[in-house]
Amino acid sequence: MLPTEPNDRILYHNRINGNFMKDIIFTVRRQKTELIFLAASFVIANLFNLYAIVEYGSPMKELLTSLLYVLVFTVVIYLLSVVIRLLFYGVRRLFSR
Amino acid sequence: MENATINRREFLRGLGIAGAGVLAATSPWLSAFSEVKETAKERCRLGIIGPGSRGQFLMNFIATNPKAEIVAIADIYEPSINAALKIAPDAKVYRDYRQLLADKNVEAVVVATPLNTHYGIVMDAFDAGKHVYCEKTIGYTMEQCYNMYMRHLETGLLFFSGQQRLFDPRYIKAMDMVHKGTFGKVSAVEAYWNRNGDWRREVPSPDLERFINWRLYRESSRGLMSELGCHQLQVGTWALGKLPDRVMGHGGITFWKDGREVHDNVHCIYGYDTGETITYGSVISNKFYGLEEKIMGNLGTVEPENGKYFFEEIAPAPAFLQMLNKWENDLFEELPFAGTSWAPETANVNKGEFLLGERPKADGTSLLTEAFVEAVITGKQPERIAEEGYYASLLCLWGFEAIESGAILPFPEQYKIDYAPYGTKRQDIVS
Repeated sequence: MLPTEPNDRILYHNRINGNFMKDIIFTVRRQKTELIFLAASFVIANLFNLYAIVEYGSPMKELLTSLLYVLVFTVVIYLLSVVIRLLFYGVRRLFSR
Repeated sequence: MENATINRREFLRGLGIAGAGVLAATSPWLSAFSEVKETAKERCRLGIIGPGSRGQFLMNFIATNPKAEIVAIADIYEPSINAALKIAPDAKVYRDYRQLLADKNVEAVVVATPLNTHYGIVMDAFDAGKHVYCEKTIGYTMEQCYNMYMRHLETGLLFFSGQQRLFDPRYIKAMDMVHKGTFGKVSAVEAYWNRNGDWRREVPSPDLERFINWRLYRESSRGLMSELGCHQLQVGTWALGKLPDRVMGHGGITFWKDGREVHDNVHCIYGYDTGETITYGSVISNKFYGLEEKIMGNLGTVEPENGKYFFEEIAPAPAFLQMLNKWENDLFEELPFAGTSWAPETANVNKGEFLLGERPKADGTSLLTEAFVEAVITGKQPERIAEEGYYASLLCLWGFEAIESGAILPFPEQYKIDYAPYGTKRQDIVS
């Protein structure tokens, strides 16, 4: 029986054709998921900035002027989420065997 | 010193202001350039009396000015004459300055001789009907300075002195800001000029020691006060807008015990009845702090020589960085091996701002000589320039007397002239 999932189908196809080099497939679904995570990271970073502005009594214009710092922090949060997810799925896979 | 020129257009652009008229209150002598277009095709003829090192430095600027021609030089030292002729090959050479003064082709003279000779030369020049640019300090005594200034008034001839900071864009901009109250109430000016060197020049023969190293001997010099202090004390009164009421001082020969007679370290405190202070110090056996005038207001500090200003209150780092800084502190404060690594870079360093948005190219000497040339052509004495030179000279000679006497000396009333530098205007703004 042919696999139904696109990733599995491609892997199956590679196996049939003797191609054992593994292609990395970045599906539309995966892209959407990662973009959602990135957007969520951006929102969280901005919330942190908002909290800091209120906490330190700084002008609200820092929501814009500190955007560079916020973007860097966004990447940090996103990478953190990647690490956490990799750990989560890795552990789950380990126990599911 | 860097022999760089700066033209008027660069000068005004550097100041970031529309024109010299804007600066009339702070630097009225800039009126020297008010007829610069009308004089475009005119040319003045100058004589240089004493084309030694400083004289040649000035000649380099004058020689490149299309409105000026160096027609004569006078000196008694052959190497100086030869060097000067390389700058102005067509100049007529005189061994006696009186012959140069008698030369009808000479309209104005630049006097760059040793200090003790200024008085006789300048007075003779006025008598001969010549306009005068005299290197600072203008006189060897306060009385000489007073007589020279009075002769300038009597004759109506031009009188400039070598106070190049009056034309230095950094200083003009700084004073404009100071007088507008940008730095609040100025309580003190700390001026110093430190070097590490013996201040000597090589002499080809021991007979010429006192002739060439005239700065080191009392008969011809007032030492560091007259040679260096003159520039910086003028900056103090320029900033504070008034003359001090008393002075005390101390000096000595502590390091360069090589036969010199003038002090190698001097310090003076000039005090005002209203409480402000100008301090001046010069040491020539340590150069670490170099040269500066720190104009200190309650809102900020200007360092015109450095070309920078610093406000007392600096804007805090963005809240986001402060938050990260706190996290880092909270995280590492329990750990003995770590501390804040980047907090000082974000929150606490006051790096100041450049007065002109860039590092300065040159001091005001080129513009000062240019202003003199303009004045000779128009025959108009720019406002306050003679008075600034007069009082700058008086302040350093007065300080020298305080050092010599060890007493607290009041301002010598007999040498006060009808001139109040900036005074009321600035006070109104600041208070």
